[in-house]
Amino acid sequence: MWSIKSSNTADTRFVKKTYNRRMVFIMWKKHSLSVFLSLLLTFVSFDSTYAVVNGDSVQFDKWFSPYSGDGGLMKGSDSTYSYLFFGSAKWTANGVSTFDSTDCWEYEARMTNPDDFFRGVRDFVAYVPDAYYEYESGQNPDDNDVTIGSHDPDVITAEKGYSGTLYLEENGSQSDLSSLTLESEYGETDLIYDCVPTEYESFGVGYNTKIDFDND
Amino acid sequence: MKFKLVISAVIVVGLTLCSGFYYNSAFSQSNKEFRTFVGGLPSKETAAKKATHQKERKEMLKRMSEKLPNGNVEATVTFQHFLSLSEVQKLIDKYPSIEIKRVWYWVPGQDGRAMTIVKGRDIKKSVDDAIKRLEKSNHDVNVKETLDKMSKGNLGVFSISVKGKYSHLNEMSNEEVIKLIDVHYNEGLEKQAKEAGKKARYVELPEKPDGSR
Repeated sequence: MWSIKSSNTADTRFVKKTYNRRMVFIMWKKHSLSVFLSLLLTFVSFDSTYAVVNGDSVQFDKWFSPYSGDGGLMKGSDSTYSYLFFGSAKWTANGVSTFDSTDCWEYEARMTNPDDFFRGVRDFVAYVPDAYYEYESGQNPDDNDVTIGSHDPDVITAEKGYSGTLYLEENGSQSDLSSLTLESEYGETDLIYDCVPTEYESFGVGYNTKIDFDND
Repeated sequence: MKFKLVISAVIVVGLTLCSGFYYNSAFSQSNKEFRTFVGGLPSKETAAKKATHQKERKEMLKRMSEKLPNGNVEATVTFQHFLSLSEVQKLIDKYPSIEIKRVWYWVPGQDGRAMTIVKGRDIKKSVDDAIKRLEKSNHDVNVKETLDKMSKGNLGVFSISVKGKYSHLNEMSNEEVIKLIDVHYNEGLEKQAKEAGKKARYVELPEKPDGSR
């Protein structure tokens, strides 16, 4: 180890500075690969932070999602319809109190153009406060979701079971819908009351496969 | 040595910026939507704000009916109070040129809502068929109780979704039972969406007359 007995002299300061520079250089030269890998790791950790935010992970506080209940995009009891649903969905007292009056909550099924699989909406039934639905179809990448939303999640009653179902008319191509993403999302409303997404968790599922909300 | 340090700094800054850009763009992609709600204001808003909004939207419909009387537009119609199926039928029969697309209904006084596509301009048949369908396909105990009530006649219509000419919709807006005809057109939103090369979207959230959500 380097030691400096008289740290007040100019020579000593020069030696120390030079030593430090040399050490940085040696470290860089000897361990350039390690340094590069560290930097790469930093980048990957940024990336994985994003993945955690959007993924179903115990590290992510999903207060805005139901902690129990189920959901899915299911095949109907006859060949004429499918339905997007969430059922017996309960929120924690903490989750409900964290919503404020400008927040909104959405439950979405994301897929390639919904028109590839459905002919549109047939019926809608929902108990969440100020419930709405959206069926967005088209070639634009934004136009790829079917949604049930609540414009007033802050008045949800904690521990009460809520449900919402959007019935879709089939077009006979549902077998092509092998996988989709379900999202529970919360957002804030802007000046024109649009629900602008803030955070979400997602579940990769198959068509006609139920998911369980398990935000314990 | 300096060169190496500079390179290191550039790499660090570059990677950090890239990851930051990736993170932000992932969210902004989702945010780039030009969407608004129609059918009045959400329940959470004050009565004064709702009244001002209604006035503005009524004036807009009047203005458009003068500027573009034959222009076709979709609209969400809300009522002063819950109407029976026959009352709604009677109302729409007075305006044969206006297409009826959807009907919104529920048990008065209870939170929740249902919507059904209207076929053949027949409100009663569309809702009766829907309730039967929902009873058959329902998987939720709460919905079952509500459906039981509605099938026994405890049901009120609080909104219909229509499509027609601005002039005809403006004429219809004079009906006493109608609170608001909220057309799916917002000049500011359309302008912003057009500038971004996107489509403006209108999500229906019709206001219920009894304040239930």
